[in-house]
Order: sequence, then C-alpha cells, then structure tokens
Amino acid sequence: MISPEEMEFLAEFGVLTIIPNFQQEQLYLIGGDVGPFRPALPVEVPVWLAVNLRQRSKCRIVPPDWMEVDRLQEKKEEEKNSAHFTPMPCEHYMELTQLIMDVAAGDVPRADQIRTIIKDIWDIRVAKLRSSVDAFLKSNSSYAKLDHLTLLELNTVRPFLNHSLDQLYRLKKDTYRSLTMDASRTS
Amino acid sequence: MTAAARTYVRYAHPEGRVGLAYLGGGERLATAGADGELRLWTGVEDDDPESFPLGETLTALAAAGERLVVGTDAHAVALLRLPELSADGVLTRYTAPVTDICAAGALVASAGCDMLVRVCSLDGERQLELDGFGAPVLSVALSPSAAVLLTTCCDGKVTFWDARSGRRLAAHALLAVSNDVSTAPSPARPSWSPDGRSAAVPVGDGVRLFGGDDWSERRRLSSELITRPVTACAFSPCGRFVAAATADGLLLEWRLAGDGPARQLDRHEGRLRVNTLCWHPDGDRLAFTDNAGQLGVTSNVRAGRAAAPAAAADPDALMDIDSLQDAIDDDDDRDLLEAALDGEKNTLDDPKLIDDDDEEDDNVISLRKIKAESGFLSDADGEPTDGATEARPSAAPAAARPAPAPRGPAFAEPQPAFQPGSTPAHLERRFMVWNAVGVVTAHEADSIDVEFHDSAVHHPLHLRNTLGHTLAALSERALLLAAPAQDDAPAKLQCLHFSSWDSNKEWYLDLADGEEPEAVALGADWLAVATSRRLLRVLTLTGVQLRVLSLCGRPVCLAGWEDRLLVVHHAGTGLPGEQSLAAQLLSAAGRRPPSLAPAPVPVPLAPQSRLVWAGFSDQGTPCVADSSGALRLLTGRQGAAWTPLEAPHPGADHLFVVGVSELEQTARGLLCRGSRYPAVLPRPVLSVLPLRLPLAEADSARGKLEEEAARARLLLDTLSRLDAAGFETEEAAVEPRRARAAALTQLFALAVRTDREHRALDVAAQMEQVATVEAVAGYASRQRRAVLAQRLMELAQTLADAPDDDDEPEPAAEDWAPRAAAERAPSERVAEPERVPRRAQTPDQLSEGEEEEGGEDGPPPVPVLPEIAGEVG
Repeated sequence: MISPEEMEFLAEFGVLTIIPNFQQEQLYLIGGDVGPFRPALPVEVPVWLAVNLRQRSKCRIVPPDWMEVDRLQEKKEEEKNSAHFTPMPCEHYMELTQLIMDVAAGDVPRADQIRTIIKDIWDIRVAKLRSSVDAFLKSNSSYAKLDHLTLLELNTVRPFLNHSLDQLYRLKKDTYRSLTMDASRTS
Repeated sequence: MTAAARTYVRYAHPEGRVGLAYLGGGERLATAGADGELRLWTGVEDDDPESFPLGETLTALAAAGERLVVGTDAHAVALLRLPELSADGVLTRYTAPVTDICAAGALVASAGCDMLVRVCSLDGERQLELDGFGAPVLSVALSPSAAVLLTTCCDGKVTFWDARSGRRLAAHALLAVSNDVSTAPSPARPSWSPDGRSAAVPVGDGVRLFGGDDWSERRRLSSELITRPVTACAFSPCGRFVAAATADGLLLEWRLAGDGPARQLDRHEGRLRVNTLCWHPDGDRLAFTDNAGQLGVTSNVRAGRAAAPAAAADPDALMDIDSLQDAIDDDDDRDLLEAALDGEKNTLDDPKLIDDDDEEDDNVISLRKIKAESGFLSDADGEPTDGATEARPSAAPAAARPAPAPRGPAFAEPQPAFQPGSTPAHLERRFMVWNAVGVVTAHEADSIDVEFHDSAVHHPLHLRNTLGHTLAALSERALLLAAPAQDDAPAKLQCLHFSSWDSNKEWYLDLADGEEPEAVALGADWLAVATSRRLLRVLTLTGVQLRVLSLCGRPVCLAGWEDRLLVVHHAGTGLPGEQSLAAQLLSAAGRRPPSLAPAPVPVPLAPQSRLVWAGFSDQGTPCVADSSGALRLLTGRQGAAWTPLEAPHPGADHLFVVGVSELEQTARGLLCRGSRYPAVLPRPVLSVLPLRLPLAEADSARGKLEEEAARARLLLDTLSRLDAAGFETEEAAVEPRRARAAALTQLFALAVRTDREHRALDVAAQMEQVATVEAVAGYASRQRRAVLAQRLMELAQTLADAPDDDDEPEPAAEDWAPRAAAERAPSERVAEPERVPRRAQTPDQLSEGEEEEGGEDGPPPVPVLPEIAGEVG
C-alpha cells in the first residue's frame, strides 16, 4: 500500500521545463546534472526542483505538452468511448496536475478547464475501474487483467478490493466447509 | 425570356446564413454554413463536395486568392490556405459573430455584430478599425481595387469609406432600420462594378447605383416584378448587368445601358429569401443561397439576353480600345495591379494615398473626359442618353473590366521603421520589445509592463502610458520609451535610468517640433534615437545630449550593444518587390566622439522579403533576420561579408528572433504558428534553436560533416576576434577545435574510402594541427595510399615550418575592443570567456590613428575606430 504522499513523491522524479529568472551555474545532483540556469532560457529540471523554485518565485513552469485543453479533451473523448482503459499521456497525470496547479496555476493557460477535464478523465477511469471490479466479482473469475492503469488509480481500489476479496474468500471458505461438513454428516 | 435559364437548388447546409464564393476561375464553389462545415463543390450538381469541419458554425466566407477567409464561431476572422484548407492564422477577432467578410487585393474587410468594421491586410500586419455604427453591420463590400469600402448597417445607413485611411466619404440613410442582423428585413448585400466606379445597393424594392467622386446616388433600378424587398444584388463580371434577388426568391437582372425593364431570370421554387448572390466568372451562371441553407445555381443566364437590343447582341464582347485606355487611366486599377504584384505592399498607411484626393481629382477629370467622349450616363450632370448608349454600348466606362496593362515595374513600398523584437502597434496587447534583458509589454495603449528575465536586475515595472509611447528599448541599466507628437505636445522621450546611483531615476526630453521618433536603441551608457528628420541623436543615459548625426536614408531600425550602434536605413529604391537597405556600424562610446564606419554596408535580404530583426549576437557581431527566416552575421574581416545562417523550426511557421549566440551557435526566438508575430497571452516560451550553415547536400553524410567543420570554423573565427579583443578564449576554443578536427578527419576518411585522394588532400590542408595531419597521413599509408601519404607528410612539414597560427587575424584589422564587456555581456556569463584587461590598448590605437592621419592639416583627426574600419572597410 502506497500513500498518496508517497505517490506524489514518486511523481516528483519526473522532468519539467522551467523558465528561470536567475543566473546559476550547473547543479550536480545525484540524479544527474541540472542547468545551467540562465534567465528566460528554458531548462529541464526534476519536478521537485521546479515546484520548489516556483514556490520561491524563481521561475515560471512550462506546462508539459499534454497539459493542454484540446489534447486533454481528445483524450477524454477517447477514454469515454473506449470500453478499456486507454494509455494516459503521463504515468502521474493526476499528481503532476495537482502539483503544478497548486504552485503555478497562473503559468498554465486555461488552468481551470484543465483541472476540470483532468478531474473528468479521473472520474471516467475510476468509474470504469469500479464497474470492472464489479464485473470481475460477479463473473466469479479467478483473475482479471487491466492495462494502462496509473499508480494512483490502482491505489484507490487496492486496499478495499484486497480486503474485500479476502473477506469474500473467507466467507466462501466457510460456506464450502459447512457444506462439505453437512455433506459428510448426511453421508 | 426566362425559358432558357435553369435553376437548380439543393441542400448545402442546415437552416441559416450561408457564405458563398466562387474560387479562382470558377472551377469550384465554396460554401460555409451554420453546421460549421466549409464545402467545396465542383458544381451545383456535385453530390460529393469536399467538406471541412471548422467549428460549430460559420457565419461568413470570402475568397482571397489562394486563401479563404471565414467567420468562425469564436467570432474570429480566420484565414485558410487552399487546397488543403490549412489554418493560416486569424486576422482579427470580434466580441460578437462576424456578419460579413469581403476581400479585395491585399485587404480583407469584415464586420461584426458588435458594430465594428475592420479592414486588415492579408498578412495581418495592418489593421484599420471603423466604428460609429449605430447598429450591427449587415454587409461590407470592398471596391475591386480595395480603395473604397461600402458598408450597410442595421441603423439604415449605407456608408462609403476610404479603405486606407478610414475616412468617411459619404453616408446615406436609406435602409429599413432594425435592431439586429437576424431581424433585418434584408441583408442588403451591395456589389461593386468590376471597374470600381459604381456600387449597387439593394434598397427597399429596388436597387440604387452610387457613383461619382462624392459617392452620391446616381440611378434607381426598379421593376414591377418586385413585390418583396430586394435582399442582394451583384454586378455581372462584365459590369453591364446588375442581378438582384428578393425576399421571395425572385431573381432578376437589369441591363445598365439604357432604360430597359428588368428581366426575370427565374424564381426560387421554394420562394425562400435569397441571402447571397454571386456570379460565376464566366458571367453565365448565378449562384445564390437561401434562408434554408440551400445552394442554388441559375445557369444559362446569357441565353435570355439574346432578345435584348441588337446592338448588344454579344453582351460579353471584349472591350474596345477606348475602354482599355480607360482602364489604363484609372489609378485605382494601378493600385490593384501593384497590390497584386507586391504581396508585401503596405496598403493601409501608404503615404502615396494620403494625398489620394488629388489623385482622385485627376482621375475624375480623365473620367469625365472619357465619359464625354463616349457619351455615357452617370456623369455629374447627366441622365442616360439613350441614343448614344445604344450606338456605342461597348465603350461604356462602367463596363470596363480592369485590364492588366503593361505599366512598368511596381516598386515595393519601403518598409516602415520598427523596433527589433516588437510586435505591430495595432495589436491591443503587444510586445514593445523582447530582448535578452527583458520584456516590455503594452496593454491597449494605457499601460506598459516591464519584466526582467533576470529578477536580480530589477523588479518588474508597471507604468501608466499617459504619453502614448509606441517605441521602447530596454537594457540592464535603463528603459527608454518614445512617444510620437500628440495634438499639442511635441514628441517625447522618457528614460527610466533605474541603474542610476542618485535618487533621480527618470527624465524626459522633447524632440523638435515636427520631429517624430522612428527608432530607439540603448547601449552600455548611451542611448540613440533616429527621428523622422533623418537625425540620429546620441545621448547619455542621464540625458546629456552628446551628438547629432545625419542619417543617410529613411531609418529602419537601430540596435545597440555596449559601445556599438547598428543603424539600418533605406539605401534607395529596390528592385521590384525588394527592399534596399544599408547598415552602418557606429561606435557610440561615451567619451570618444561617435565615429562613422567608412561606408554603409548593404543589408542582404532573401527575395521579396523584409528585414524583421536586427541586433548584435551575444558576442557583439551585428546580425540581421529577414521575413524569409534567414539570419545573417556580419563576419567580414577586411570587407563586409555576411554569413547566412538558418535555424530550422519544424512545426512552426515563423520564428520571431530575439537573440543569437555565436558561442553556442543557437538562435533564441519565439515560435509562431499561423502568424508572424507571437501573442502576448498566453505568454510564449522562448525556444533555443541550433543554427546551421546552409551548405548544399546538408542531409548527406558528407554535407553534414562539411557543415560541422565550417560551423566550427565560424566559431573559431569569432573566438579569435574575441581573443584579439582581450578575452580569454583558450578554454572555449578547445571544443570547437576538437569538433573541427573530428569532422575534418571523418571527411578525410570518407574521401579516401571513395577513392578521391585529391579531395582528401584538400580536406587535410584545412587541418590546423600538425598532429592531425600526421595522424591522417598514417591512416592513408595504412590504407596503402602511398602517393597521398607522401603528399600529406609534405603538408605536415610545411605546416610545422610555417609560423604559428596563420589563422590569427591581423591585429590592426581585428582589434576591436568592446568596452568593459565581460561584466555585462548579456546572458552569456557561463560561456563568456574571462576578459584579460589590456590597458595599453586605447592609447596604442589613438597613436596609430594620429600617425596615419598626422600629415593632414586642419583640426585633429577623429580617430576612426580600427574595429569599425576592420569590420566594414
């Protein structure tokens, strides 16, 4: 079980482009070298650094290319029309949107719409996930396969699903045992 | 009479207004309707038109050469390029739906429900806004030469405007008043005669013709056939008939010559209101659209005219000599021709047209003469005289089609002055300057925002633009703004010298009466203003006037860097369609007098292009960019030589250059899709694009290596110049040297592998280091190329014997020393080599200068800066 904070932490290892407003030599980090930072020239940095710099008003964040109303709208339609999960433009789309919107909503054109569409996509996918869990349970199958689920989505159902499957298993086992016991008694 | 004409009506779009236009020679018909689809029909019977979904709804359509102009659901006037209908930018936007669009020459007129009319040039650079309408505008029509704009409005007015200046020429309150386009009894679609001398406007139950230099009503066309209001009218392509349509679907036409009654062409079977009317260029078919979104075409129109008077038996006969002559005399036609020849023509503030009135007067005189000769109607005092008209109908000036007559070369309008890194002044929000230091943005002419890329330079500034500043320059030390003269106040300069150490950081300067600032530039501790009086004023940042110089031509732009000033001005009339520009490099350093370069250098431009940016690279080399996207560096040593560079930007249409770095070999700019200029919002992101030399066969392995080697060579040249100027460049030169040696070695191997030994030797001869030559000689002998190896060894020997560094420039020729450059070199601190101070330099130069010119009499000679002489001499 991974907590949402931990997932956000994982998402922070991604790369974002920022436009710094300061001059700075190259930074030598464990994950790789970053920079040099020159005013107004875009540079790629880890998400955590981008968020940190933005909080200190040291840069502007360039939204990732998928964070754009038209593309997301398209994605939403695709997701809506498909029976299965479609691949997301980013493994941590929800977390990244959250991170960027929290600190740099002003840097993203039409941020409100993007927030809404991302939420819509999330709702569609989680609804799909719930209905597939439902179908899985009702069909009494022993396993199910779901592609293109992101970590956060997986973790919305994981604790409850695992627990309830355990319970179901226990109930079934008891029923079975009582049945077999009944059967042995009658025989 | 109507037996011959046939009408075919078909579904085209859902109910609503449909825009209609014939494309090119009439091979195709374009419609745009309420379903947001643009359809291209090969004919009205085409059951499978090409459909292009462009939005929720389309409200208007016009054809402009290779482009279509549509009014979209976003209330925008969008350009689409044929044949794929690829988006080609948005010309303008309204706050309410677009009601009508009309294109002629290089201009597009459009109207919005928000009671505005705008006239834009097709390239989007000029825009003129007409207001003063009391209600939404119904229709717009530009005369064929795009000189006059005719609008019909829901407030009942029919107005003629000068399409260039926006002056109202005439207004007539004739139409029924309504409060909206949808409730108007008629869309009142006017039409211009092909010669642009008269206009037809549907008014009530008839059509009125306007003409003359005062655009007064000249004639009323009416008919007893008409029972409902006339909604649209259209001059036939030959200009001798006017077709009209009514609210109950009646189609009819009048012959202009004579007083004959109207002829019914046909009647819409559904008796629906016809909204638009459009002639096929062959003059035999008439397309229309109705209220239900249907498209109709009445064909075989001409057949019915056979019953007309015998003198006009061939109604579309070619014009005779008189009417051709007539067309040649017509100034408007010449304008049209020029506009057609010269895509770059700047039609909106064409200085020639400011005194248009005089020309029109001349025109009227010649017109009158011709009319008197031909005895035709609609002269200032004339009612039509039937006899004469019947006798010579084909000589009627109204019928004269603008004929492309040979007129000599059409010269390009000299490009107006601009600030490098700025977007056009007509935009509501625009960049006044975007450079390496920061961004100055103007918002609707009342406020100016200044942001610095490096927040350490200064905090952002917000100024009220009370003086109406239009020009701005920004450096790390000051902001310079310039405003043109207002009604009573002279032109003003405002300087925010924010790096000043005293508490007074702002000063103003009035220019002389009648003098307008055209371009401004900032340098290390000076500023320069080029004015309309061809003066170049150089001041210190604190406002001390240092110098006034005369410019050799109309200024185009200025650029400053440290102590150097680049002046670009017009050098004369270019070849047809071309600009002719020259650049001068001045030293504008504070204490020394500004020394002029010996001669202006011609500025190279790609064919049919204009200068769009000029400035200095981060290393101080003059650099220009033209509208074709090519960049050029002034890299000459002894004479002026421009090195062309290209910065490929796939996926974007234009690169808005804001800077060039020679050390990194990159261009910095804003990528623009669908327009030439970047929008202020959303804030564009600077792109860094690698620069390439445009070598031939650049995609082949050999071409790539050759380009790499040549580019490394260019960088080494720059470094050697910087070295000569006192910078420490050893470290920065390591990488390009290695890159050049590697590229040359690979080229050598490639040449050897393809058995081109002589070429291999030529490649080796370009290598700078003996060790490299020896290495390739070893390679050659291993490849059993004994002759080549032998020659290479000889080459290595000569190289070893030769005095060191034959690449090194002559000190006198290359010794340009940017004053105190290292500390302030813009945004290059990481890569910028450290400067080694060479104090003895300036006195040396001075004494050299005195020695050279010491023999002359008169005042002590002005020491011409050797760098300038070296660069341009």
